[in-house]
Amino acid sequence: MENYIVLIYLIVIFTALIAVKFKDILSSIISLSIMGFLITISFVIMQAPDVALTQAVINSGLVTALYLVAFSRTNKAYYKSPDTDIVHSNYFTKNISIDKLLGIAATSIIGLIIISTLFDAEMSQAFSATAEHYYKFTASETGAANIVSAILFDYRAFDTLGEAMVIFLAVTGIAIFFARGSIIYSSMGMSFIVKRSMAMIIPFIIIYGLIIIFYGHLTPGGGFQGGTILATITILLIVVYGTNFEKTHFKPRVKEIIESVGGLGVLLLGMSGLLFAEKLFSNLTWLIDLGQFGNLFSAGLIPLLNILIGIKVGAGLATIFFNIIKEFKIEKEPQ
Amino acid sequence: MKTAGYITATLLFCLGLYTTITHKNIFKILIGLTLMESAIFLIIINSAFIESASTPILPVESIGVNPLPHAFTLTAIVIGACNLALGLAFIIKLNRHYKTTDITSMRALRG
Repeated sequence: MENYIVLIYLIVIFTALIAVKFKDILSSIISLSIMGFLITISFVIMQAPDVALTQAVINSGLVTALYLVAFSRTNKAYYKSPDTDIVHSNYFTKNISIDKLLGIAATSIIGLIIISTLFDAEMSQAFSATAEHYYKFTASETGAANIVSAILFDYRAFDTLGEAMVIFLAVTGIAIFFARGSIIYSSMGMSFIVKRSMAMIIPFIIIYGLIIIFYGHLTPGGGFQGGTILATITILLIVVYGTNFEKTHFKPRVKEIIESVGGLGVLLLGMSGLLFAEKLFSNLTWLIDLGQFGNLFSAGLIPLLNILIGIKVGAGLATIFFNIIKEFKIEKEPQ
Repeated sequence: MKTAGYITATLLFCLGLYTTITHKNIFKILIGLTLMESAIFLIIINSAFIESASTPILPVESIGVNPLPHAFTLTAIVIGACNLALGLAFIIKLNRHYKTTDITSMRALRG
């Protein structure tokens, strides 16, 4: 299987070239999605199942959906006038000159620097002491079987708190951007057949997301991946049933409240460790036993944090998508 | 195998950087940023890989790959997606204001 990786890398470069060179933005976006999926396969070959799951769900699924929504919002409504079209075609045909040459020179210099440093680092690399520690003591110290989950939610849980803050900031920023927009046009959704079959598929997607969240400390997966899978359900609902259905059945305000509850829960669980044990995000050993290694109810804080992060990421990404898909009422023209 | 990964990642990074600094379409600039991100993920995961090692899930028989870079990459992917969403929101807003996706015509400074 490892012999195929060179072929995969070749197709990665090819799809990246398509994404860069095609003038049609839609082709670029789809090609980018294919590239993300191929990188997912290479992650699986390189024995990184957690990262592969995240890459598949977020970078090749959700990001593509966001790109497509942004593309439709820029193209359909506001990119009509022929004058701007002419400006565009001029720009793409005219500048073969010094811009591109300088760009190629700078890029190649930086590439040479990167590759030389990478090979220098490769010479001096060995199996590090921290990795050895994780393999020896993760089972006894945290009770989790998945070492990546143990690092994310126990050894380096403070990083995860910062990450949750970044998601919160992104959601807040986008909500402020689109605060004055609202859904003025709502499609009726797709045909009856698509709606019915989607109603049959969605429960299975929910179960899949929940399993990935709940078994995050035992198998690949966790709060981030499962939360994103749950967020894709809202995307499906918007696309298939129309925006009005989504707005009336899952109110945006409720989603914001759910996200805040998730973030606050993460913070409070961390602070409880500071109060009752010696450090932030202490693994609840002061309250309960770590449990049998390999059981569903084990590993103390890690499953709880997985659930809270899943809630937070799911609600946050759903809010981002819902905000981006809003159409604007016509604002005043700038003077 | 690691060498191929490093070379691919460097090429991807260069392609993304070139796109970001030369292209005029604002979507292409974001696509370049995404390419650079993917290149960095490839480099980090490649640096963690060890020949004939198993996944970082206990119990492990002989030796496993380094799990710490995996955790870093996981964090980076989620943050990258959030950054990208914010960038796309910027694009929609700018496009509403200037009615174009050409970055050279977005020059006016208004309060």
